[in-house]
Amino acid sequence: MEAKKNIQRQDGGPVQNNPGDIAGIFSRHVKTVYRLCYSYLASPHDAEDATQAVFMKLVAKPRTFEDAEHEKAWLLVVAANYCKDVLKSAERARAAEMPPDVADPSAKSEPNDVLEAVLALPPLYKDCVYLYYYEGYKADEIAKMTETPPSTIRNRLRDARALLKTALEGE
Amino acid sequence: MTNDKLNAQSIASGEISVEEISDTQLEQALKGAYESMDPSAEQEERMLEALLAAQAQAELQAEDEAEGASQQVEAQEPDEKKQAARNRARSFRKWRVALPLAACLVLVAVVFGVANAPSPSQVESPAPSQVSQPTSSTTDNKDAGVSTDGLIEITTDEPLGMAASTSEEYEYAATDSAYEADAYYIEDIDFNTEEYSAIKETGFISTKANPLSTVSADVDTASYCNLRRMINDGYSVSDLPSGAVRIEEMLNYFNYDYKAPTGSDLFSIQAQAAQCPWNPDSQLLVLGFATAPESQAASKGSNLVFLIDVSGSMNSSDKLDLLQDSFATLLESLGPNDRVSIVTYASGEEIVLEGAHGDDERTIIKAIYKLHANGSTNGEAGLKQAYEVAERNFIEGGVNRIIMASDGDLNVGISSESDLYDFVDGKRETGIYLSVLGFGSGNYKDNKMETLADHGNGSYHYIDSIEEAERVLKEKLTANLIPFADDVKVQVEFNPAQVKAYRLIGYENRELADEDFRNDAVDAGDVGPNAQFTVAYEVVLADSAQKIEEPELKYGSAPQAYENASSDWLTCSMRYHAFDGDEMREQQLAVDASTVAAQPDADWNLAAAVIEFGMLARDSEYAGTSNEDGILDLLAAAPANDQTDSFRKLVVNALD
Repeated sequence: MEAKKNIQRQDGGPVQNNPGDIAGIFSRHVKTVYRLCYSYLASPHDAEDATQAVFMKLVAKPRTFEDAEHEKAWLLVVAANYCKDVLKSAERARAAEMPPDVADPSAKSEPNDVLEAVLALPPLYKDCVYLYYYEGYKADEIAKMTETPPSTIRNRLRDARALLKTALEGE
Repeated sequence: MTNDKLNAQSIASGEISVEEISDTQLEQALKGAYESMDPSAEQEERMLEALLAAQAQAELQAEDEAEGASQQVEAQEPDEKKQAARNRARSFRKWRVALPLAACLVLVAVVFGVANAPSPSQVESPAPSQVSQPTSSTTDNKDAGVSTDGLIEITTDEPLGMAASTSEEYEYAATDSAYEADAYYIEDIDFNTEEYSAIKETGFISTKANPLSTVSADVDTASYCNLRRMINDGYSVSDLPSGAVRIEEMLNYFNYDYKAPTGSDLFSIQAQAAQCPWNPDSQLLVLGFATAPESQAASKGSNLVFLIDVSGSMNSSDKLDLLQDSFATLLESLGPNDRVSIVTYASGEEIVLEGAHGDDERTIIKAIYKLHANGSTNGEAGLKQAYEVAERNFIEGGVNRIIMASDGDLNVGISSESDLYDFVDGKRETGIYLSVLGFGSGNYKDNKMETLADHGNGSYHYIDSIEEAERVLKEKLTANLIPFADDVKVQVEFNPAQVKAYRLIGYENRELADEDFRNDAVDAGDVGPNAQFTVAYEVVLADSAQKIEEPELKYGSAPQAYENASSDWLTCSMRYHAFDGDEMREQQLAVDASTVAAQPDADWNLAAAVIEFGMLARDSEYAGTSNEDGILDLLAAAPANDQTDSFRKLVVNALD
């Protein structure tokens, strides 16, 4: 987990070509990245686009990582930022007026309340909830990754927890 | 802690009907929910394929670049690496946005079709340029077609005659197939969402119709650097969006050998005229304005707030990295009386540094290098924060200025653009000014950047290289940092007895109503010490063969105007608010035939060359006989220095 400190200066570190490894990186982290994107964008199609865009950054600008953990942390941060950008962009706002495409063959289970509650979270909370609850990062580690004060992350987690509980209990 | 009424299974299946959920249960439920989001094997396969294809392409491209670089070692400036990185970044952006754009494209095409339906306003407005268009049935100004690659292309050649369009956007995009692997190979798609405001050229105006021409001073230089960036990126002259060409900013980019002001005047005014190189029937009059090199104002100190865009779009070697690298230059000119603050904005705004002393280089440099780009761009929140910081550190009688660095892609979200401008307008009253530094390519929003700087009483510069960053931060920006004279207006009154007509070159969006010259409530440009600006006119003398449309006046016009004995061509007046005495001051210079030189000086030749190039770049209908050879001839007589040399290279690069 120590390695995550290195993401502070994403572009300042040694940048090297590591051709051929994109397939390895992809298979190691595709699910991690895709889930995060899905939780932001709530559509398998958009999540696929976003995931691909995130890995494409590595193709466009190859970089070396300390280890798999550093690699993963970098991808998660990039994915979260990318999704926030997508959500903010005007195209997205326009598209959002159309009915959401919920029915999707690639979603393995039936849509359930928990999934809906996660997807309904404000974007601000989505990365910390995923990183904390699914990926098992500690609040301090999330703070470092996202360059947000630890207290802010803790507050966000507390708020998100309250939102999720309210949503689930309200059913 | 645990609530036994529930088990993880029932939560995962979505059947939750109790009052309280424990943290553990929530965690398990969330895990289940996230796992249900996993991509299908099909999706994974599809993504991997595209990535591998893109990687292969990137390697090929890198090889090509390496080859190309070795072939033209001496021709290029030493930023090939940057160029390569930029190309990679561009090709990536293309990919990233191709899909949503393709979806919008049909819509766009339909809208343009409607906008282009002939309207009365279009018939009346003079066709500003003679673009030879490929035969096209319904669209005069645009040409939409589907190429064999499956590429739909819409290019905007001249939006000028269009009443419906105020901002020019030119977009290329790929169809749906773009996000599949093979489409990534199509390297020639130049995807671009840069925006420019349309510029309508003024044209010749009869002195009988209006002997007065009034403009606001302009010390911006952005247009030249932005064009240089595009040309170095491989645009040819015909590809340049005409809205990106502002001839006054091109003229102001260069340093001229203007004399220093004397006496209580803040400005020196010089005039030189000679036979217009591109029009045998007119004279080219170049008016130069310069302020004194040094100023007395700096002693009270400067309160500088840097408002830096750290949104995801700034994450590029030609944006944030460039800004960071060039920051040290600025610090050289600051001292212990100065205050430096840094506010960043992306999804949220943050005060990175507040009120650091100007000589505390370590702290400032540390703060600037800590920045890195991610998130979206909430420009409005950032601006508000920056104004608050500036107000807290306000230096009475000193310089109070926000310097905003951005690619201009403010997806403001909360409020409209005009609200943003109103906000900046309102803040100008507080004595805090706003200057704008533009960065990057691809999604550059020239229109927004310039408007912001204009509303904030500030100057606007475009940064395309480390050299330019240093030049702007060190020379241009510090020159314009110190309020010296503001609301600087220039009014030229032509003498109809001597001059039949005139054409103001550039300054299209800087023109003022003639009666506003002495209306001090009307805002105009702000000029610092050690600054210069140039205003050029094409002047048609009374005995010229050129035919000028004159208004038919039923009651005639004042006869004395045509029969006066004055041999003056014109009188150039300046009016400005001088900070040293806190008063409005006026200066005048009468110009007559004695300014005509058979052998005009080097400055005149440089200005003429810049204007010719600008007219070619915007495909101006007044370009006359302008061509590459003509420009190179003029440059041969221009001052022999680096700026002339690099301009010559640019001209050759763009026109060959």
